[in-house]
Amino acid sequence: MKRRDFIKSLPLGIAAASVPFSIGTLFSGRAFGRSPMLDTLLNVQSDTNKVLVIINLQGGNDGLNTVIPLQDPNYDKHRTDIGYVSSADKAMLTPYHLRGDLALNPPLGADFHSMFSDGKLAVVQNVGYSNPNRSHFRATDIWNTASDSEIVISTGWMGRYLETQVPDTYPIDIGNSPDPLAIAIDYSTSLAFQGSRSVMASAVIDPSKYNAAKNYTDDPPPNTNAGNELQFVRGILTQSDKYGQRFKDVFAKSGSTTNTVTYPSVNPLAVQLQKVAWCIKGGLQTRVYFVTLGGFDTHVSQNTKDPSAGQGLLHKYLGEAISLFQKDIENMGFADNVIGMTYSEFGRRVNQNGSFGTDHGTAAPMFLFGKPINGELYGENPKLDAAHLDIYGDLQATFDFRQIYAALLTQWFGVSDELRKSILNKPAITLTDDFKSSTNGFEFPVNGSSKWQNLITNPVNAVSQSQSPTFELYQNQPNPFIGTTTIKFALTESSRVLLEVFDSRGSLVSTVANSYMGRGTNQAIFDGRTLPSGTYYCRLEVNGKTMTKPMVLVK
Amino acid sequence: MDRRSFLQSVGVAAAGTAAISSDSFASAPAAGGLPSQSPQLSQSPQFLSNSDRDRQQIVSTDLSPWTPSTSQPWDVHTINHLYRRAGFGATLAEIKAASGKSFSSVVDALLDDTLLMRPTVPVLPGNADDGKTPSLPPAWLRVPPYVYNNPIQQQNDYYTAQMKIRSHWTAQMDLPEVMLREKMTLFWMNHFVIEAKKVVWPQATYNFLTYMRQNAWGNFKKMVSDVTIMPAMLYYLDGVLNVGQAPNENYARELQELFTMGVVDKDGKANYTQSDVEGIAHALTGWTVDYQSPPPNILPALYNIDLHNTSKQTIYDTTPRIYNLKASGASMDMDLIDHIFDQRGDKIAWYICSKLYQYFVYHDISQKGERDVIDAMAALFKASNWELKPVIAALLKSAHFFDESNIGAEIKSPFEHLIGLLRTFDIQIDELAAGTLYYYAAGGSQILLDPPNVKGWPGYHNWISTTTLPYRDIIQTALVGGSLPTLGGSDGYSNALPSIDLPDVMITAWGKQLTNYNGTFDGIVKEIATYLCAQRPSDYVLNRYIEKSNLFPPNVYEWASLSDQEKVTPLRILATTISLFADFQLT
Repeated sequence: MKRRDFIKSLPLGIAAASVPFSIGTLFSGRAFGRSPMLDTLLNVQSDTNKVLVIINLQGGNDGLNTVIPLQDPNYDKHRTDIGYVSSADKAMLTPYHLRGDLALNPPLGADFHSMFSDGKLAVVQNVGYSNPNRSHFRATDIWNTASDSEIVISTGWMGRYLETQVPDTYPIDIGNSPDPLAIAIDYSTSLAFQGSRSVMASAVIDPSKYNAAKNYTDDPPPNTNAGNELQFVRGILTQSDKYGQRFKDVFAKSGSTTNTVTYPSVNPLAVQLQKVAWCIKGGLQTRVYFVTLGGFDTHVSQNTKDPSAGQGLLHKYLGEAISLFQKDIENMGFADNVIGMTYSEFGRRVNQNGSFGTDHGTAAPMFLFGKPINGELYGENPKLDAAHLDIYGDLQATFDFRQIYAALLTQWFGVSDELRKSILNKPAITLTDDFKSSTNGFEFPVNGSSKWQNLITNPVNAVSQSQSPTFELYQNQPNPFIGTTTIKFALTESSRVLLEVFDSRGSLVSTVANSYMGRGTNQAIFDGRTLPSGTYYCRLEVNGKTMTKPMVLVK
Repeated sequence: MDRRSFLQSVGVAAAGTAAISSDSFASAPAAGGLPSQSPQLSQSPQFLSNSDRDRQQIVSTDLSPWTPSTSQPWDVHTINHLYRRAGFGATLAEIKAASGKSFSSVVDALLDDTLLMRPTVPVLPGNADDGKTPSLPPAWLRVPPYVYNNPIQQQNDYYTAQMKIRSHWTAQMDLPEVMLREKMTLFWMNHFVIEAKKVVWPQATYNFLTYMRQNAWGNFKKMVSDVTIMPAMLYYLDGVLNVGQAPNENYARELQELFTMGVVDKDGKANYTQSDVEGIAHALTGWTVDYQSPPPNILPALYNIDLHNTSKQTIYDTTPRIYNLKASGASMDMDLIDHIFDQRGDKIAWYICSKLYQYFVYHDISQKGERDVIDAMAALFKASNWELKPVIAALLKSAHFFDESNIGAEIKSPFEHLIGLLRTFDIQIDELAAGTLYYYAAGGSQILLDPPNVKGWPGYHNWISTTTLPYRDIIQTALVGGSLPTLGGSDGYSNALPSIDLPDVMITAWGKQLTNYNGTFDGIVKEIATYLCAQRPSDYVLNRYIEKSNLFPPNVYEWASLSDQEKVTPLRILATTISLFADFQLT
């Protein structure tokens, strides 16, 4: 049969439309036969097998009606209509006390209280930052980028961490990380995962039913706005292609889409956490999962106490979903490897408004959960007297949210102190940026509390990282190159540097520089005229730490 | 059903129905070797961040007009650019027609003030006292509040009415005559955001949507004033509950943050304080909705002096005064809006123009070239006393708008993607088929009348993800392959909707409009690629299209001699193949 006859004989429509495209001659990708030697050279970290689940409570969860300071007369005064004020209200809280003067909102406490009693739930009180912003969108950005209130930055805190775990050419080159570094169970990812070069997370609604797309072109894009966008789409296509097959493998595993608990389908958070559990069970090495629960913007009819409406229903969802997920993870044997964290862009105004709701406010509690979490109460109760509220009647935070980020990076992901400071303080990739505040990189313990040393019960030991904040190796120019290329690097102080080039098998090709060099930007010329075409790796070593960039030589 | 589970039901259904096995695209595994055998494969494109990109020089950074030239003629490439940005794309016939007219007259025609909407649906009054005779809205819209004894029936009627509004809106977008008006309607509905599920009353939602359509390029200051007391907005941002001494700040904050000036100005300085939010909230107390008003004009806005806070307010550090105090009436005094525009005019002009710029030209405005153009737009906007039409006209006629750097630099929204596909093949839809299309857009995360929050769809890069891109591939493959099926959702509405078909006869009619229909195969590939993609195709990518389409002889060498019927499938394959490349997602 002639090919066109074959095509014609197919019924047109969706099923058939795919058939003529069974090509088999497609761009085959860049499958490096990478050697262990090369991995060592690139100093890509092996997987720590630690998973963090980030739960974003969108809209601004009212903290004072989440963890209730039931003995504070100012609470009663400000929350006349929407709080636990009467003696009958207070009695309702009795089963859910965290301490004599503090209780969980009952719809939440129904599940959270036993997790707290079992030491699997940490409650961190009154978390925020200085000069709080009350816009949903700006405040969300501040939390996701870990920036100071007055500083707008374009990369996310998780993006800055995760991009140290892969080559600079990710996602075109995914390094030794066959799985997505992070997965957002959503249509798009969060700013928290934006790296300096590309997005470090993949958005997937349901990894178990994933249809991959592919990237078919790799010619250099034009150096224009349009070319920039073309490259963005290609990167997403590449990720989709590379991870699509992996999802197939994972979910082809027997039982990977079964759970040991029943997640109610009406609970929007439970539905997402169920999928996270599938991914973990199936063996994905993804480190971070991002899920969301929306609807916390309770300007009107907040309904804190009602487990079937408003904040009460959202709290029921939150407690139920997390508690089921925790049980599932424990039953499946992953309890030592999985923790979770909740955050919301702000808490709400201390004083209720005239619509049985609350307007945008500032600080609020955060929850951390999981077996490895030191499940305790952290921090003092929020101070609600006029002297301690700000001029708008809002709470003043006692913990900076980046202190929690710092604890997780260090104790859970084993990030070195140096890298942690760079992630939380120096989001831009240049070394010259002057970040005015918090130069200590959000050290802990704070407020004299030794508890911060042990937010995680058995912290991972910090390992040395491939990226050091004291120097920067830039991509060679031009790249790809035909004969010679210029390699630039920056030093924050004069140092002895070793600049070497290796081939793709890991053999040393040339020592470009081995000398003492000055502070600032330095450069060296690499001559590849006698070498064959291929990918080479340029490695800069300063004070025992290294950075590596791939270079492409074309003849 | 909440948004997420709704999207899932739509998305999964579509994926299940139209699944392309990724195996059918599977590449042969690379033979572990090094890329030295094929150097071009080892080129790893650099991911440029905003900070380190060294972009091509933008030719013009003001609003000086574009003139077609020999290097950049008024041809399919530039005509397409105008129609894609000012609308949702053009048919081959429309491009041909435009090429015979002057560029300037084509832009002017897009900005026609008389064409409003499909003639089958009567225009509704925007406000109670706008001076027009209210015409009766369609029966399906007249779902009055609080009249049912059966709440389930009431919910169903609301849902049906909302679905009809969505279908009607979707069908509007496919009308070529009103493409720019609809493009602006979508812009305003994503600027002055409401969510139908919170507004509840369909007629309030419909009136709001219709107002945006009527004022697509009207006077912005008047729009702000009107929107502030439109019932849909009074419901959506809790104005109906913003009373007396216990104000609700919801609207007052978003009025500044999202609707007029933004949190910070172009230099990063704060535009307002929490005190200003509270002051405006107080000044707007007293505006609520009249629940007692009989049809057809149900639920008009109503001012209740008893609910107004009569204390003096300090807004933007000016002398404290009382705003918006009046005895009664259905229109708002302008004193508060005047004050906001007087005190923050420059910031408002820049903020609105930056959003228009991002919508029509390029989303990234971090560079000086782009910001200079926005400065020029803002100056024109203020000088025009907040009239939008001169600003939009100047932008669409500017050399900057036609800079090659910006052509193909936007990412298609789900509606640009879907309506664009229909326009490409000249598929016309009625309101039922529009319902089908609405569900596909929803699956791509753009649910009309239900954006994710008060900021609207974030758009641009957020439209594209590892979830939405494979979904788009399924849609393209299905539609160009012959039929985009109905989704068969579980809500009792989508089941009854039709598929959207592209039969052979339409492919043939489409192909015959191409110059190379009886020419060479290479010629037709280039012609289709130039029409389907915004950026000019390179020789490299043209070869890639041919390679990936897997069309071999006789299609390649005997193209001219194939019969019309024999050309149908290769045309479908070519168009589908091109649509699976990254280029197709740009506009």
